[in-house]
Amino acid sequence: MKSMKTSKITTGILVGILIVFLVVIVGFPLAWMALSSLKPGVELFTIPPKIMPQNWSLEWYIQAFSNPNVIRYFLNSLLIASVVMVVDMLLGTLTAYSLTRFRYKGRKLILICVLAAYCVPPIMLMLPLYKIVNAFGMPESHIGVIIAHLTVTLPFSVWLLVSFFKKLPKEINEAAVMDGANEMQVFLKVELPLCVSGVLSTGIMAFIMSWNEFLLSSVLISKESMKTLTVGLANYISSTHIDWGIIMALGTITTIPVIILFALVQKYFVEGMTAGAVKG
Amino acid sequence: MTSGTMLKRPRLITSYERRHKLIGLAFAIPVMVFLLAFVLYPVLYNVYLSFTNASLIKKTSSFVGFDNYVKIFSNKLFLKYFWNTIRWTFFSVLGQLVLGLGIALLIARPMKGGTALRSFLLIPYVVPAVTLALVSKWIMNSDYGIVSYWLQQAGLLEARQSLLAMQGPAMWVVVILNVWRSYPFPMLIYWAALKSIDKQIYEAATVDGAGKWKTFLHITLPQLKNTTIVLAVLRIIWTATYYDLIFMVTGGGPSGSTTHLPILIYQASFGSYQIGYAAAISMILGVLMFGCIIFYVAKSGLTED
Amino acid sequence: MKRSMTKMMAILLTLLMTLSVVACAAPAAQESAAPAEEATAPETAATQAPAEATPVDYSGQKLVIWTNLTADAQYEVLSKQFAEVAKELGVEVEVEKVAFNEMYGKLAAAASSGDVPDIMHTNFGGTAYLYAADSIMPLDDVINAIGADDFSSAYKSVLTGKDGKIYGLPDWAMHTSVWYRKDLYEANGLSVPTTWAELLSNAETLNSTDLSGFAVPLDGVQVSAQTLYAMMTSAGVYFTDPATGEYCFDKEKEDAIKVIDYLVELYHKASPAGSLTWSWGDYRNALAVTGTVAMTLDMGAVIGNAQGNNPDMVDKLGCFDFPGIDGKAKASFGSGYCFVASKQDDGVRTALVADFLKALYTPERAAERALSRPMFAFPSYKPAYEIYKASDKVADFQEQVDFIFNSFENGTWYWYGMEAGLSAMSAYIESTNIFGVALQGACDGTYTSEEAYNMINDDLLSFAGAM
Repeated sequence: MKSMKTSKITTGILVGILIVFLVVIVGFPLAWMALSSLKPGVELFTIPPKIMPQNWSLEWYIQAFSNPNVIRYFLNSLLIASVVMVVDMLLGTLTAYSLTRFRYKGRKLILICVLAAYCVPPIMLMLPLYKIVNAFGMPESHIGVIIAHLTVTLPFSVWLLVSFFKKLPKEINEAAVMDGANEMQVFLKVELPLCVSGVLSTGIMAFIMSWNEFLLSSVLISKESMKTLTVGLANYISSTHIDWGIIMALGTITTIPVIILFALVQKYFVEGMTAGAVKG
Repeated sequence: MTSGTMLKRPRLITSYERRHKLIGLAFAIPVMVFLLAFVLYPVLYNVYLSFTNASLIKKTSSFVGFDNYVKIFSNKLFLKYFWNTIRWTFFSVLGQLVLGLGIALLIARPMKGGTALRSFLLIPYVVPAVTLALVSKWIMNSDYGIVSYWLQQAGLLEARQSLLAMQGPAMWVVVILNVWRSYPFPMLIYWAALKSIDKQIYEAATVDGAGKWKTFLHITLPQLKNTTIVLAVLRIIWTATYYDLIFMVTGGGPSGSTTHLPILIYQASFGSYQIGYAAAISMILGVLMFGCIIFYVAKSGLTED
Repeated sequence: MKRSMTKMMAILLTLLMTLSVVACAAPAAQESAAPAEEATAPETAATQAPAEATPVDYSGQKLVIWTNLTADAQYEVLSKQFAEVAKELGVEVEVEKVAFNEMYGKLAAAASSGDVPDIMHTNFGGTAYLYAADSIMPLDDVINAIGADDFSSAYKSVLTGKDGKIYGLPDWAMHTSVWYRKDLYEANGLSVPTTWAELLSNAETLNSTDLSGFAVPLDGVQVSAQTLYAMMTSAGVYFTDPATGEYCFDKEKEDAIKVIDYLVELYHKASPAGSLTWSWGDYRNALAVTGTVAMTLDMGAVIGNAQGNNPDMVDKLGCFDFPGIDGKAKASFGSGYCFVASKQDDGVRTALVADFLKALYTPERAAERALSRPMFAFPSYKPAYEIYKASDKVADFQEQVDFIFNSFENGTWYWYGMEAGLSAMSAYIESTNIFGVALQGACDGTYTSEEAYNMINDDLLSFAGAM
């Protein structure tokens, strides 16, 4: 009895240590970034490096926000990621619904095409997409980047949603059809409410992927006013003069919104991701 | 009357079924059109390019047959970069699956603040790669990077050296960074899979006197087999074609030690302007990824009803 | 539970739909404006106004200008000047930043789709690329109109094409020298080195636990090539023959290997191990901010780093030219920024671009642009030099400024690959990563100097062959 109790306590302590370790590993880079962005210029390069700022300073944030482009980058990222998210949810759901609830010839072929599209390396699309976007005069708008992000996110979203829909019982659907509802009604009134969390979590994934995307955005965007946060931020390292202070401030500005957004919708994300998606 | 409906019924069903099929197809059409225009067309264009000597600095190009492919395999460094791709992908995926499963087992235990912990551990998933890259470049700086400083103090690293400037360690650093950012996805999926394992199996095992380790080995792991296969395929494809992180942390260096195929393709296109050659390399990467998908389709039964 | 979820989704959807409508509306508005502009162009084109007649009606015209200068201070001055000139001429301008490290990707993509900006403010490599891609036009008329003698002849010859015409309008110039800690030299009783051996021994004398004598930065793209080239020029080794313009790096194998040997030796004996992947920001910080390096090659921007993060260091920095093997250097590594202009379809726009560029060349404007660089970019437009020297920013550095200006005006200096005028080889040297692969490998023992040389030479040759 006693030994079981001690072993339970030892496990408890072990688990506790593990958790602390994990929290430190996960939190350290982010904490370092946030704390550094609050250090004045002279403290950024102290040797040995110190974790906590000796004098707190907001100078880098003032500098960052006094650059009107930073706000533009932010809005651009928000806009592009939001549109990508909505399109992914709409088209992805329709396609997944079609592939799992209807029986027609070529259905499997479509699914295989979607999966094949998922394995096309984005770097392979880089130049052709650039040509298409320019041919249609789209560098003037965000549409080119949105299309580029969709080529990456859409196949993945369909894949997620197909495996999600497959887990839902078909019987309700059939019952509704018996009651005389048409396909759109069944979809909107019967299926959609059942899979809100799945659709939402797919949308969130798409949002995050788009918000973080760098390669295609950096090639497709040449206009300062069109740049996304990741592209704008990457420009700061490449410039010949590295300003770590402002980079850390911008990094914090880029990261915090996604963390907050994610925290807000996480419940649905966890629910959706665990409700059967990606289990084959 | 009765005979009339009897006669009509079959016709009604077929027309209903045809309409039903058409509507189903219609739902899938937008995505198909999109993929044809913006994925298939670029891929075909890429296939075409791979057989030409197209260059970004010349306006004309001509058909060169398999020259680009021959050139790839006669390049001594290609093997090194190919091997880098395999190491990067294998260890990144292995790392995130093992870590994901480990943490899933940890947070599957009932405990106080479990939800908060889980939420916290999901954060790396949304941290932009560019942010992570910038922070790591700084903390790994040979002079004023805090991680380098700790390692130097501990005698694990030469004075004023950085892991990112050493050929062997640089690859490990980018792999670790990638694992840091990607473990939450497997973690969540494993966590869900663990929850769905029937409790009764465990109870039966405990009655049989099986220890924790044995239960894990003989009951938990086999139950997670399918999840693992799907996750592995998903992540292999994503990782092998993933460009952003390596590009921003090491740019493929030092001396090409972290150059994997996507970086090589970028270099070939924008570094040496040879887009025909770059297209041929991306064909090889694409074909390998397609192989993974075929394997997945055969294994997963996703196309079954 | 389910209700709140549906509600939440509805709210999210509405929000996003609104956003997307806004997103699509904004570009749509721009698109509708575009055809109107195009419609006016052919009409005015028909009049074919000569370039000299200044009061041409440029109204409704718009110029797209790219610049590599992403640092805020520089970008602000440029965009301010562009806006002023645009107002004078009654046209619209749109200025885009194209960061240095993504420049070749952007240029390549732009050149291949024919979407080159009207004017670009770029370095020699960018100029060479656009010249090779046949995207820019000669600017001899503009230069003559401003005053051909107001620009240094070495500068003009770098920007001269195979047809003898000048394709870039010189803006400001820079010169690579060794930046060093005067205080440490004094404390150790050292004097300015005049040979490679002296430089190495000075560097070794300065080495201590916290200090490295000479930083050899070798970041993968551009930086490694620049470090090598600064040493190559001092030994008289070039990529193309200054006299003929032919590729000559293959003929100088022995000397080139000697240079690589020296670079590797300097790295091992006097440079921090981590400098293998150092980029500009890293070595500048090491010399001017953390003070962990006593010497490094630079074009002078170190001063800006000191002013920003460690003002005490400003007075301690000086510069001298990288010595030759046994005495005076054969040549040095110079650089600069210039304006280039893409070919225009009609006479009015050609005239507009010319007038726009001319208006940028008042002594005040030229000096202001040079001064916006963190440090030691001096105006290549000679009438601006006095204003430049008199400014507060340079006042404390008369000695260094005169030294550099002298080296630039009277010495022999080259930009890699363009030893005899514009050549695509230069752009290639800037964008390839072979210098990083070979030189980093030579320094960490993966390759011998000869192997590194062969890798670089083979790569450059294969480019030359493909041209």
